[in-house]
Amino acid sequence: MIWRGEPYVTLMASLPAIRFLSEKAPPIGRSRLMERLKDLAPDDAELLRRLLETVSWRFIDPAQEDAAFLDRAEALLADLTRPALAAALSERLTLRTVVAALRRRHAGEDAPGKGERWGFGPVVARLRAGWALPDFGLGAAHPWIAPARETLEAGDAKGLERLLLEVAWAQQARHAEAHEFDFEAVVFYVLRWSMADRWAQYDADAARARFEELLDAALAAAPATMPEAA
Amino acid sequence: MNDLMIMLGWFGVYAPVGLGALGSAIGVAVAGQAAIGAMLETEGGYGRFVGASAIPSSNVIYGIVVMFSLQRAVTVENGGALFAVGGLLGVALMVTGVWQGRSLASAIAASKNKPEIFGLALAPAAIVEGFAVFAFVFALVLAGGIA
Repeated sequence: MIWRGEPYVTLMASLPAIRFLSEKAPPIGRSRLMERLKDLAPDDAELLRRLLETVSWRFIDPAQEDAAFLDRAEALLADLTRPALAAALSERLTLRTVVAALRRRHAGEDAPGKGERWGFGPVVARLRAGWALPDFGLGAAHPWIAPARETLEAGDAKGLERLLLEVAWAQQARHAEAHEFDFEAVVFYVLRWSMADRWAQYDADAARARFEELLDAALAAAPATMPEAA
Repeated sequence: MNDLMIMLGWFGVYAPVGLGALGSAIGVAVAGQAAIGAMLETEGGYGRFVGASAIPSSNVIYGIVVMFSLQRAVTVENGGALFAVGGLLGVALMVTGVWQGRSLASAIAASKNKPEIFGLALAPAAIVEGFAVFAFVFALVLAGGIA
């Protein structure tokens, strides 16, 4: 093809590069990013909103039921005419389903019932069939399951978060390769931003918790070490 | 048939300018949009972004030069040769102009984040320019042999 119409050259060129886990915070703030995204065509903006409500924890309503979430995700997939976005969304939902299974099994739950709607895609049946296996029998297709299970069992929440973000980052990077200035590129950028922001928030929360822990320890020791007030 | 050959001949004479202008316009527009975007995120160096985005302009200049070298009385005998040389050069100038613009847009977007790579990032666009120059030079050589 001589020239493929790419309407978001200016927008993409105006966004700073995001280097995952190498920075304390995304190089562009949320409000500035949202301001830049006003350049999106109305249909694209609506599609991005729906994608974020399905993929990004910041935008997902935690109160909604699994079945309702799955209905919305499947409706979105049916509406997606862009193969890269559909593939990326399917892969992310599959990742999330496997992690949900790991967590449920770690909590001592049995395999979900056959009619229960709790996960996405063909992997659901395979998870149920391989519930007794350490990697659900999916280790070849999803080599990250083994380290994720070990991290989960070790109680290393931050390590697990980092591992899952790395897997999700690598997945979306693979789909984003052929897209530089089109709508897909915008979506993948926002997803990268969302992951970097989540990690930065996680880091900040962990730092705050550690600081409070140290503060408590210091205050507990304070009466014995501080001189009497005059 | 004769009318068709004459029409094709005239197409060949003007194709380097017409198609070259299309390639230059699209290439400069794409690279220019990237330059504008990069200016939103950087504090300086705007001139080099705008300068780089103008590079695909050269294609239409090559087209103009070849048009003058092809310009002559178009006849049934030379119509086919004019069409082949001018038409293919026009297509080459258009495609290289468009893709040079895309290369430049990538170079501008990348060097906005890492200014030190600006010169190296222009290399792909320079190589594309080289292909346009090949097509231009050899079109001139062949134009000399058309009656």
